[in-house]
Amino acid sequence: MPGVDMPLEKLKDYMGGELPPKDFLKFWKKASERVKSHKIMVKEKPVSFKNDTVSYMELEILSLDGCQLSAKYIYPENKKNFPLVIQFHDYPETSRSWFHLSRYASIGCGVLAPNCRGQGGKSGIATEKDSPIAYGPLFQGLEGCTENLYLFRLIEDALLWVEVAKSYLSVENSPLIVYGEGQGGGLALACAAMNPEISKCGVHYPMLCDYRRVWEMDFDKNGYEGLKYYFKWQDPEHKREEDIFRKLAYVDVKNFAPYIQAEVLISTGLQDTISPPSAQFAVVNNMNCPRYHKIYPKHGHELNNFFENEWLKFLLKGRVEK
Amino acid sequence: MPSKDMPLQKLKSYGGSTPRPEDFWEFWEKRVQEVMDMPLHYDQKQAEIPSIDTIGFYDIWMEGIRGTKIHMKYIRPKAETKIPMVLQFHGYPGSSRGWFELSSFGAMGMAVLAMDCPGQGGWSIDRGGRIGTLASDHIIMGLDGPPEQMYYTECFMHTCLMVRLARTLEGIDTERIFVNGASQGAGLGLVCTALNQPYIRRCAALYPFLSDYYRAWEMDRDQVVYNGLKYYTRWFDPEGHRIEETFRKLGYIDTQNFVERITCPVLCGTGLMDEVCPPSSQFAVFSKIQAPKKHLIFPEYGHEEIPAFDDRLLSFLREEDDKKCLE
Repeated sequence: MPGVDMPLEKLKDYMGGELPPKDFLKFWKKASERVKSHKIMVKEKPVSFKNDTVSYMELEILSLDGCQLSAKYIYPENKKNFPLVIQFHDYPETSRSWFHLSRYASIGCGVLAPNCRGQGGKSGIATEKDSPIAYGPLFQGLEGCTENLYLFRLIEDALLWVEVAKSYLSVENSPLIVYGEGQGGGLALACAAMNPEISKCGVHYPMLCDYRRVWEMDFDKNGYEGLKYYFKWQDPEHKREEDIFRKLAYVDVKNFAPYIQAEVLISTGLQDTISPPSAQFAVVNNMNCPRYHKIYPKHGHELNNFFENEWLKFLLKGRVEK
Repeated sequence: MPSKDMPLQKLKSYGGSTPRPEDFWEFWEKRVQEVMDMPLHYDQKQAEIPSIDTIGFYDIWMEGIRGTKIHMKYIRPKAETKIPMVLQFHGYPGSSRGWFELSSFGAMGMAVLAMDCPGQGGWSIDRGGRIGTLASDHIIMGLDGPPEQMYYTECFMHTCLMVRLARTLEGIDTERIFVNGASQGAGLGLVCTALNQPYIRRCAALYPFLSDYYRAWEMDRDQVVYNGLKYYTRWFDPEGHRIEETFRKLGYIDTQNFVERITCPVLCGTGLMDEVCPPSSQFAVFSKIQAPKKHLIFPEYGHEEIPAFDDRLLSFLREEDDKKCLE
């Protein structure tokens, strides 16, 4: 069996390299409360693509710490109630194209696709953080308090978009669904854990999980390179290693996994050299919810038509031809 | 300005360097006639994706040339009126894209028919039997036999058969048949549009493959998708005595030789960092299009997904005015 990580049999039992903090759930419940009580003002900017049946618009909101966040929003005009999918993008990209996202309207779903702050899309730069930013934003703030980690804000922003979906985009009693690739998969899982009303969750090769394993395997390059450079330049003898990984455990998606109630469809390509397969398995193995883990021996961190087909089937499950 | 080829100003006036056979159109008119004379046999089945109230998903199997079995994905939004149809062609050597990706056309109120090129990554079945090597790429398959049996001659003919099928399927507005594709898909799309000129109303072509073979060979870009050209020379003509003859024959399947017959608006795209299909080979194609066209140039992009190009499709295919669609 091909792979870039431990053998498949071991992957299936691997639970992760760093234990979850004891107050993890309490910490995030508090954060969630702050998100829920945050006053949301949504600015709408319609975008025209000469389509009478589908609406396209850009949404803007302010984050809890005052960042301007933006998202693409597409929904079928002829339906009052439609399932809404929140789709998060991979690191350090932007929400997928309007054309790409249009697929959801074809099956009668709306889609909200947020742009992560300070990455490729039109979401404002992060506010000042402790620690260098020379290698991208992902590991900014390692020296400050947990709530000031870039990764904390990233998850907090994602939770805020769920609130936008729930309270603003009129999806009352309609299914609320989350989906993401890589970083986006991690965010989707965190959202599902903190919002039991989310019924389905699709994840293509999740990132933001098991940072210690990433570091141990020397996968701290590509997306995760900020971790390597933090230690190399700021803490070359690893005197603060325990503290750093303990702090990162609060923003480790595998620690959200036990609290997810949604039905989860998740994929791992065993050739993934961005997000180690073991880290992804740690997420799956910590879940208590119904889940379907699709494993692709010869696929890596890439577009996978087969998984996209599975995701479509998963979304359509229970819907029949009329 | 980033680039992997000649400077942009030179690209704009570059007209290609592959010889064109004198009887090119005579040859192709015969091939198109052969397709028109073939029986059209196909079978439509429910796909692995269930059809729902808003949209249907189907597999179509069609009988092709010399016993080829052509598989297509067919997605059709439910509608009261006749709807436009997009003929979608895929990159080399893959398969038609996933069902969900193709569904975006459904949101635009359009059906989509996506062919798997025989003998590549999809389900279509190629019968082989051509003269010449099988150990390298499809561009040189059949190169030692008569040009009508070259792999791509038949593949281009299958695109014509697909147009016949599209015009037959129920509920399709035959006045609005569009073509879309990237890389090999753009080459096939442009050829399909040229050979079926009366029936195609829009053609979108992103970084076309299958063009100006001599240029790719001369630039030593006979790698990746053009790899077969290098192998053909190395194995069968190491001293290069038959270069002229070889490339003249490849002229029968060179996209740049077809496009002069296109009459509908064409949306073209090139990433200047393209290391797979040399930008010059793409400009050679686009410069020969005499129909209304818009060539979008992306200096930082290579042979990869270009979201800004994809988003242009939304208006290009929806706008009914032939001029406005390119604005």
